[in-house]
Amino acid sequence: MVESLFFLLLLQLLGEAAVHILALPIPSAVLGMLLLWFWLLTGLPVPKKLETLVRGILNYLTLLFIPAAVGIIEHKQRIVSDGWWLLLVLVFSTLLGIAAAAWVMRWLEKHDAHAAPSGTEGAQ
Amino acid sequence: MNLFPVDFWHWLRPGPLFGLTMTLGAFALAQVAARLCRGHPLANPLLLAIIFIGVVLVAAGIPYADYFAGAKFLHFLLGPATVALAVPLARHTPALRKDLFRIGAGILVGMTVATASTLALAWLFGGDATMLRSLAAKSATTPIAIGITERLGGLPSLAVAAVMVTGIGGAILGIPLLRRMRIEDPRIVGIALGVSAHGIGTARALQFDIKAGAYAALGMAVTGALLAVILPLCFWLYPRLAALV
Repeated sequence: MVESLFFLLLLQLLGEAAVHILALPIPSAVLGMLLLWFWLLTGLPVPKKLETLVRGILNYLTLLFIPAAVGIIEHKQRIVSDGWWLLLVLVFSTLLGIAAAAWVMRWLEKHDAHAAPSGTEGAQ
Repeated sequence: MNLFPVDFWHWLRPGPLFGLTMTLGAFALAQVAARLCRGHPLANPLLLAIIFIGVVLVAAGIPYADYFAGAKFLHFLLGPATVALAVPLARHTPALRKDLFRIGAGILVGMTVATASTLALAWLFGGDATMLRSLAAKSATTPIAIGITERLGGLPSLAVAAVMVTGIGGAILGIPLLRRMRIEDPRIVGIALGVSAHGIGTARALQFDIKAGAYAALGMAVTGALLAVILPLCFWLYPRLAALV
């Protein structure tokens, strides 16, 4: 477990170093994710319990967003004064984005012979 | 209003114990409440936990900074957790490679629609320039959104709040919306949630299906990186193009 956590932190640390040296506009953790992705794809050895640790952490991913999300209360004044339109705009545009991405992917699946069959949708 | 006796708060305040304990307690309580509501989308554990904590902080007059002094230990774990997303990503890479064109199209369209509709609607409702610059990066994951907003000249703290509202909204209503569209394919659910609702959408996608989580992680990473490049360019180009017309 210790080796696995060390490994994840080490990759994030490498990401952090690369972000600073190359002045990249992405966070160290996202770069760390890409590093681990390539590491795993090349079949390099990883700590034995990595899978177990990863399953454990990802099960509680939602929990880890709570501290930042509670920060919304810092803006309760603005939400009250600018009205609820701000919340509505943010949520509605998010749903538009979700619907648009899903619609395009489904449309391409039906119209593109190269797409991999889905298996969860009924036959056309 | 102060619910705690002064002395009590005085010795509790400097330590991390309060924020950490409250976050774990609120989340445990929120999960029980969500289970009691039989997983109704509005009884979302993240939303309930935020409400529980928010009510306590406001009622007891505790500043957010004092709460965060403890909660930051959980916040810190978001880093290694994001790195960990590479494991499901690697497992589903063979499937991803067969589907690259469709994934790319989903990411580009979802990202463009989510961002353009935010700016258009905020402008219609009379949002000023600072507001638009603070909302533009709302579909990027938090650290990317802060960086983008600073470059656009918006308010980073407002941007973080917008990112959080976006993530929570997408996590709560995204899957019911997709069900209504009769979409249950984990690849589509994953890309749609990861692109529009970043990390919080990815966390929701992981609960839906591990494969959806892998696709969401990819969607989140690509969207964040693209927005970091495209948004500053758009905000630089727009006044110059408008001047030509």
